[in-house]
Amino acid sequence: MYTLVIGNQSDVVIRHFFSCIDAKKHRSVVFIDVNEIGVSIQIKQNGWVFLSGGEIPHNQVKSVYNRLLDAPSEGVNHHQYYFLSWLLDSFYPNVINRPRDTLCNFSKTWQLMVAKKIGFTIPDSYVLANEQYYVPTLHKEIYKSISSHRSIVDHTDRNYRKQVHEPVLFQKDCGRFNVRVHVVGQQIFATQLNSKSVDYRYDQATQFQSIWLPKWVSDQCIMLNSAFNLYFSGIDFIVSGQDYFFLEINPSPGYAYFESGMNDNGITIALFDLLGIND
Amino acid sequence: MINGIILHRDTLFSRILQVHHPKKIVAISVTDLINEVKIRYCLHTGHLWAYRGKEFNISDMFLYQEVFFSLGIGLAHYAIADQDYVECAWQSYLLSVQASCQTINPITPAQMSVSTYQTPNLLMLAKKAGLQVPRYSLFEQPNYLAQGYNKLWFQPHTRWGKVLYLEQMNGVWYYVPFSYHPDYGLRLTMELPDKLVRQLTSLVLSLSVYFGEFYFKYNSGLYTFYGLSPVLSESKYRYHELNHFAKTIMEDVV
Repeated sequence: MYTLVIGNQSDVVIRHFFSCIDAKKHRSVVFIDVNEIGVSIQIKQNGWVFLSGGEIPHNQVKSVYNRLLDAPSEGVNHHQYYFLSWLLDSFYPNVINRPRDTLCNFSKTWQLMVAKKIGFTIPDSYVLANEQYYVPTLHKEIYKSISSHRSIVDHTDRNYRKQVHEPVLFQKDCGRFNVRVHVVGQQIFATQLNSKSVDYRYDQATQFQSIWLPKWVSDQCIMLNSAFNLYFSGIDFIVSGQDYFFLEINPSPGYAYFESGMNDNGITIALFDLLGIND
Repeated sequence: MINGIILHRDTLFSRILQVHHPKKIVAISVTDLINEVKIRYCLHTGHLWAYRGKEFNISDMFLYQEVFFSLGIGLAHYAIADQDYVECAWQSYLLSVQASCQTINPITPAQMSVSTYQTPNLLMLAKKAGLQVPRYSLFEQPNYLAQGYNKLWFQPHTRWGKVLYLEQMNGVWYYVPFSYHPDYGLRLTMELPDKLVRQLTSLVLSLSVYFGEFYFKYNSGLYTFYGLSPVLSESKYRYHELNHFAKTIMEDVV
């Protein structure tokens, strides 16, 4: 039985994942370069066929680590790529995560609605479109993309236009103390990020520290993971005092960034367990 | 009093919907939505919209929308490089709108998957629901009588090709519009056997698709299910059929 890792060869997460694998011991872990689909790798109705030799029937796949992040490149056979989406959504067992479930990332307001129902504390949030906005004087506000398109988070007072056209998400700035929680199955990995920047991802001096979460926060994280049918996610919080303010959940977390910062492979090992790689 | 919104791209069906209960409906084109409607949305207070001098909270109103996958029509004022970002922002927002309203044809993030309406998915779920389905083959001509089509999404009028091969059955094509309402069940434009209606109800519930059209091959009392689409093929229906269907839907929700 095989475990497939499907994604782009240049993906740092995939590179990190395979750097933790003993290639001789784990021959049943197969990397599928998505850009080779229809080129040197064919997806047939009954299985994979590799130009270099070898086949893997679909019913011999026991688990998949799905890192399909972007639309396929031009050389890819789109029909086979779309069929792969169905295999991942509905045919293969144990897919981390199924493409349809990763689409919860598409809408931050959708995420906020679900997180609120579960009981998370949500920062004061609102969306404006075709409107002017006013910079509050009592507290700072940040604005960011409402969709999965990455945007650099910034304070509203730094934007001179004070007007939006497409829907934009505004949130009360609850502080500078970020926590990233990775949920892998029932396991929790929490990292505190210390940065002077509004968006720590763009600060090279960000410091990482492993922390313990209050049990109720861990429980809510696992509940949210389940609500979106996810096996693996990265959940972002701003922490102020005892309050954990939910920001968003990422169903395809770039966790290599955190493991590199922490010099720790705990998440990868938990992923191996979930994928049955160590069985 | 306004209690419904139609977000449209000027299809015949959306125009027919507007004819019924016009005083209770605000109809907004995709271009106006993107460029004119002022929006303030807060999790606590809901969706406040301002449009042509009127202000209303659309939360809990009924909504029919046909713009979600056609937002590009209203993006002409944006630079081409920005259009993808802007389109995703509107789609992202409309997902939460649909969840807040009584939406006739709601779309969820999971339903945006390219696998949702693919033939392998539809036929698998239809078979589970007990429907009679044809055999199919992907990318290769099978050894039974089959017609090839040029994509994985099937409609009887799909162009021929070599991607999806569907077993050819004798009979005539039926296009059957449907709408599902939790209180009234499955609304269809033609009478079908009770057992078939139960199976179709099971199918739409498993897919969470509550509006669209079914495709059948009919022969001597036997209905073979070939697929469904969330969009009506308007040219396949007579005006009075669409009008009757629209009237039924509006009576359910207004």
